[in-house]
Amino acid sequence: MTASNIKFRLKKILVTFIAALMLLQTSAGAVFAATADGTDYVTADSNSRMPIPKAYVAIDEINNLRGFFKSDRQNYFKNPQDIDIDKNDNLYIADTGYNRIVIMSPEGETIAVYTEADGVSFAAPEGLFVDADGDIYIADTGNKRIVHLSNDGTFVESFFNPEDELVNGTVFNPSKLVVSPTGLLYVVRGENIMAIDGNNGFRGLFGQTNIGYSLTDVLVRMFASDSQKLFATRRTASSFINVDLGDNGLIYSTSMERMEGEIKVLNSIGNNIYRKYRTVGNSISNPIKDFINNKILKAVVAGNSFKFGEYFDDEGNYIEPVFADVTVDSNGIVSAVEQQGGKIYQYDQNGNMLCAFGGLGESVGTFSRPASIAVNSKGLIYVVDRLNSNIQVFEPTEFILTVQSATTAYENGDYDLSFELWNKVLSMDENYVLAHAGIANSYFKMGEYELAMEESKNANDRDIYTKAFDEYKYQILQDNFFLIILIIILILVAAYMFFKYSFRAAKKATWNFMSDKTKKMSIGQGLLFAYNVLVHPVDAMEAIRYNKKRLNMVVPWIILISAYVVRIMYIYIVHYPLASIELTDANVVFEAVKLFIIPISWIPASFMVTSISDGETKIKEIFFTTALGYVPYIIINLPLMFLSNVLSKSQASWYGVFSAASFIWMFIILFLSLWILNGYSLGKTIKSLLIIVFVIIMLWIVLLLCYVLVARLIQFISGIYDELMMSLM
Amino acid sequence: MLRKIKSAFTKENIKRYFKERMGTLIIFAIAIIFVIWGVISIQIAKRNAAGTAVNYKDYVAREATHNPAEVFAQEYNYQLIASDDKLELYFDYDHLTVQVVDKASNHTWKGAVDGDVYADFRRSNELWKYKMSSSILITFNDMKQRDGMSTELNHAGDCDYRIVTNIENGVSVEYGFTVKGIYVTVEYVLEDGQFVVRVPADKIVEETRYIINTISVLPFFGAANVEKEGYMFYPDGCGAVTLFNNAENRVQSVKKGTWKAYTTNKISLDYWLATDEYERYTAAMPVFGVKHADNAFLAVVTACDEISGITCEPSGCNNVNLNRIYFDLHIRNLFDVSQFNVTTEVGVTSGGRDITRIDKQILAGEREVRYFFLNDDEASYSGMANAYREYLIENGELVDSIEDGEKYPLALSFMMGVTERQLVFDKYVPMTTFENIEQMLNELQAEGIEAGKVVLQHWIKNDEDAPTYWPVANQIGGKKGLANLNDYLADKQNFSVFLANNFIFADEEEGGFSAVSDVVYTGVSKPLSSEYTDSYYALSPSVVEKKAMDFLDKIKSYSNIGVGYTWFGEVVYDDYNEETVTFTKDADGKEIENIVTRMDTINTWKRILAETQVAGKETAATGANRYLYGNADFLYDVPITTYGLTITDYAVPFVQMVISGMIPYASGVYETGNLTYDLDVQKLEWIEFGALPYFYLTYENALKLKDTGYNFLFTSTYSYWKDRVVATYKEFNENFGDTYGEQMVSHEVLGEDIRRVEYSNGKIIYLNYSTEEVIIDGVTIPAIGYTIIGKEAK
Repeated sequence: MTASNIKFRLKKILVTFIAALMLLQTSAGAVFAATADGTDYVTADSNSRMPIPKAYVAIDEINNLRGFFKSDRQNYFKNPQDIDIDKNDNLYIADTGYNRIVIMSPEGETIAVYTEADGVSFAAPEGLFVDADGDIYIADTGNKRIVHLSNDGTFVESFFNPEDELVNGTVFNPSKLVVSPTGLLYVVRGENIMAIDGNNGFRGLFGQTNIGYSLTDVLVRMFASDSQKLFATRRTASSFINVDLGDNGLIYSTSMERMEGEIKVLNSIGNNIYRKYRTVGNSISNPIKDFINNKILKAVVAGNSFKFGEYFDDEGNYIEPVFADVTVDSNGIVSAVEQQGGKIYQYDQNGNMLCAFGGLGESVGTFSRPASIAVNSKGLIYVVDRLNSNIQVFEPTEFILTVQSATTAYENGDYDLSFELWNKVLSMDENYVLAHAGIANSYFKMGEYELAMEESKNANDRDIYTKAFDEYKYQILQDNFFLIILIIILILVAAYMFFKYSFRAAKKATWNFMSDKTKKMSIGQGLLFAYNVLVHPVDAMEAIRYNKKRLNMVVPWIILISAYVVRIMYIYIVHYPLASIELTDANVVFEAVKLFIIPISWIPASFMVTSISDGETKIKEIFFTTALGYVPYIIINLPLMFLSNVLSKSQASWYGVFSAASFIWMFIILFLSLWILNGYSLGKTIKSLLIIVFVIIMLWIVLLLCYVLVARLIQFISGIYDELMMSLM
Repeated sequence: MLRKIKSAFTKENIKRYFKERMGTLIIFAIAIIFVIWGVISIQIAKRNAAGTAVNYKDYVAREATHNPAEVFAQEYNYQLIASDDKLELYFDYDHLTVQVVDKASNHTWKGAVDGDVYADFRRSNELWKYKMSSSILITFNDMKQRDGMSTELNHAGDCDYRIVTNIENGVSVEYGFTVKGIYVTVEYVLEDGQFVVRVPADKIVEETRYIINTISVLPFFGAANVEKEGYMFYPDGCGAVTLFNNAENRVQSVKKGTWKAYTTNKISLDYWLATDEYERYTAAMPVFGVKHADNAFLAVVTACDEISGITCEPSGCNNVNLNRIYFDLHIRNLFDVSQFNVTTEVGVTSGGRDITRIDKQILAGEREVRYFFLNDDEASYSGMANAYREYLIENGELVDSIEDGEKYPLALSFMMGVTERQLVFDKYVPMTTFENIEQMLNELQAEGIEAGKVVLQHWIKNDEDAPTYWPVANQIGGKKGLANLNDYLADKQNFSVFLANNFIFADEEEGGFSAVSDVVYTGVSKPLSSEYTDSYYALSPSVVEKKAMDFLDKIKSYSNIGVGYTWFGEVVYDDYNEETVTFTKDADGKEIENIVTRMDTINTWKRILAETQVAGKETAATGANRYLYGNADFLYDVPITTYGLTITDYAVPFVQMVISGMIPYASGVYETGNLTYDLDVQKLEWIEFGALPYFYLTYENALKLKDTGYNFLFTSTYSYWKDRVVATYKEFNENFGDTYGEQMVSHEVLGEDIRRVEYSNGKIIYLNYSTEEVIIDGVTIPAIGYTIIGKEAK
């Protein structure tokens, strides 16, 4: 074992506080926070890091103006906050702390320093933009103006807060801006981007996200008094942080938005056309999971879906990414700098992560507080650090250059070239996921469906797999049409015969059980009895009601255990694109909890409610009938998991219907048991059912509360113990 | 009356009484608990405070012998007190400072800064003037506040008590600080042509509650201003250099660099296991060097080296434009203590902020620092490395393990298998079997590879974690496979195969040791465990030794298989485990704890290596800590980069120059040929650092590792890499085969991307990292390439 291996393992942390909410969650909370010490990496699903070859090498540091001024002090930067690069690769730096704009050659020699415009000295300029002609637009934040200088520094014009009723009376603090080729200024203004035309006229607010519907808001509106409403905080859309202009005229921006807008690409009408989480889901959509991801736990547990940035820093602490700046190169490759973890993330034209590097630290290639990023025509990345007051220069390695050209070739429709380049990438990194996806896509286009399926598994991309599998399936079907039809007919006949005779036997067993009042239920009889529930639920319930004493209590246990075995088998056997959970993510205990959450909650709640409302049932019968509810689950899922291997994601709805059917069936059985076993009227049954649901919710809330309180208590006591032990030494 | 009372105490009454007053009772109970807790805490605090022998109330400070401010105002008056054929030692009996004159060049090395050394000296503030004129700096803590920050004493400003005794070839000085009751004796002598500074442990006196944390000796010896030509060398990673006059190319506010020899100063698993912190604060050898134009010295801690550290403060640190570097002699251990914090979230692992606490117990042992002076051609880090190598060889601490005529080897690591997590039963996925190894070695030999150092990793059943160091996983061939491999190797004398094993860190989940009695304890009587994974522990040195010996027993019969000791060259520690602590009584009859010190641990590691060699096996270890050099046959995971601090101007292969030609070594995991981002650049680095070409491979497809915890091997498939491995080896064997067993005697930085390396057999290699061809010294070096001249140029 090498030194580094333990180091990787060490960082494997469990986000334990999720444990409390784990019951709602579909995958266990094991999180690989950081696996790659000191290497560059990509993230597979926003929290597990996959090391890759070094993508960028820090080749230079620009720490000062290299002797431009006589005085030592003036030769350093102070709190620089923005950088931009013109088409000749000259650097323009907003040296905010010293109220000046510094222009440097590509080699880092200072060419010019501008400190004032129109007779007014700059005051803490926070942003700047250089257009294609080399004209400089400076957000002179402290002076509340935007200054337009020609490339030699002569003053051209300045812009102030435009006149319009929408923006009148608001404070104008321009910080980050771009100027479109059409001459419009786009200035970050809180939750919007404000457009200003060449005559300082207001041309609209732009890019605000829909904040959506919130139950809280509705409730507040419904119940709060007028004065309370006044003090209630209004929900506002997330603020924009920074903008950059692409060669394609699109505006690339970063924002505080959490759900899908950390990095946005805005088209001319302000809509985000970059990767969105919901549209690119890689696993089957699961309403409960979506709900959790979107509403409850937000990013913390939403490990399985794509996110911009990461939610854990190198030490495994939870962070929420804040992208300080974004830059886009001529091919549309997006690099963004995240300031909480100090990492630079690079994404392709469609928002797939290419690499992450950098980080916070004291060594070369790491940052204290990165503030701005820019890329030049040669692909060198410049990162401005506010706290270190310097600029670091990163050079792409051959590896990342190949990756970039491969994704660009694919984007431009040159599939052959992209195939070739992705193979070259694989010769440097056999495990680079995007390369496998790219190759899978190419194979699919070539009609090599089996290879495409294999590669898409390596890429863990279920969408390509599904496409390839469908084609593959049709191919097989075409080649062996009659054989397959024959097999299907045989299976159908066999199934028909099986059900016919098994149901007959089940009915007979039930009848025997009911007629012979002297004998107790045998296990075999009990199982057949349970099977009979599928076709004759009402009869079965009646039988239980009048033969409570004779039930065999081994039977429900057998059913529950079988259901569990079916679930575990299901995870192993279900077809890859339909799997809702990765084998490696699954957890035996957690699966059991998920499967049996219904009886665990239903049994006590139902007993409590029925015993106070003239019910006749005891725990024993409730347990028995609840277990009966799992019979449909077993009967449906057992064939379904095998059948799933000829289904793909596009037939997921079919498959979903069957899955849902087993649970609806279970619900019907529980409902009937409540109705018949207690001798209730229909109205009373429904009433009781509602109360039971309420009780279940209350039970869980109380349990959660107890858990939290007990955990606190334990922590408190162990803390005191620790402190005592500590002091004793 | 009695009856009345009796009737009042009926069961019902009592019950009712309690029922009615339950709330009150609980509150009282809680209050009582708090009171008891408070009383105990106060008692403990009192007990803690009474940590030293002297009762403070009765303490009468010694009488001051002089007023430091008056002495400081006087002119320096140096007197020659000792001389040998190489050096002259001068001492100032008032200021208590030293100067050393190197006779060969007549260069004076000043122990105290004055206007000549630092032009702004007069304009500095009082505190800095005193500091810069000091021969020792002492940091101390208050025994009552062992969690607090240390405070600094400097001798020029604070020392008001002195006793100077002339001893043979030098002088012994007692620096006293009467206010704090701290007295430290330092001896300055000339010995064996070297300048030696000693701090005897029994003459460190603490009379009050103030306890010493570190002593820095001669903190400004060799200090230089920004105009001076020269540099400071320090053993950060492979070795690094900071130029005196390059401040303008660094950030405005630079931070000082600190390193502790062999392992980080803090006793913390997370520090050791996290590459970043480990590399940031650890030095492989206790040395530093200073070069002034044509003169230089190398400073080495030659006694108690395992508890010494190095601090480098280049110009710009603390706004003083003075470059200085010095040793910190650690007098006490520091531990991290997790602070109790109720307000943190449930389940969040870190219980609030960590605090650092200083140990009560003093670390015994006489500290010794030696200064080796070098001139002219030898006045460089190359000369320092040569001097240090000679010193180590002389003292038997560096042993040549390369026989004459040995073939140039290829270094290989193989990942044998990993455990993949599954829903029900975890699955061991074989990546390389013993048969595969034989097959690959056959193929490689057929392709012309003459010798090899092969490390087998992850070959243990149930993955690799200690303490389950046995048996061999069946999926890769089991014991039988190993036996076959052993037979196969019988006639392959040029190939050494090592079974890598980790005896130091252990995972409780794997079982096999007691997390109570077998593990390392910190000074706060708690097992040392990781903040991230609670189940991780470091084993006590005695347990490590037991397990290692047991393992050695098990593989004794496989006579051609060596052992690779993971972590041995990277981590040493103290152990406060009560099972291993012994007690002795001092002169006053007071009990002294004898913990397992770092030195004991080092001796244990050395003993294990020696035993392995006695058993007729080759030994390998990770890391390059100095104590390994006597017993290792092969080192891997040797750093060939620096941490990359902003104060570092360039990396130099100091560690490598010391061991080159004596012990073969390979670079770290990320400097392997397959995991590097550019094999051509990596080859240059191997050449510059004299490391063997090194690959980390698997026989099976690396894709199998993608979803495991070992996905750092993103490309390792043998069939993918075979051709490149062979080509690389052939190139190296042809060009550098004759340097194997030779020392790298000189390394020069000729330009940002140009290096020159010279071997003891006269072979000179010019290296060019830039993407353009370079002509230097009349030698043309191709872009990202090298040119060999000298004896056997090809």
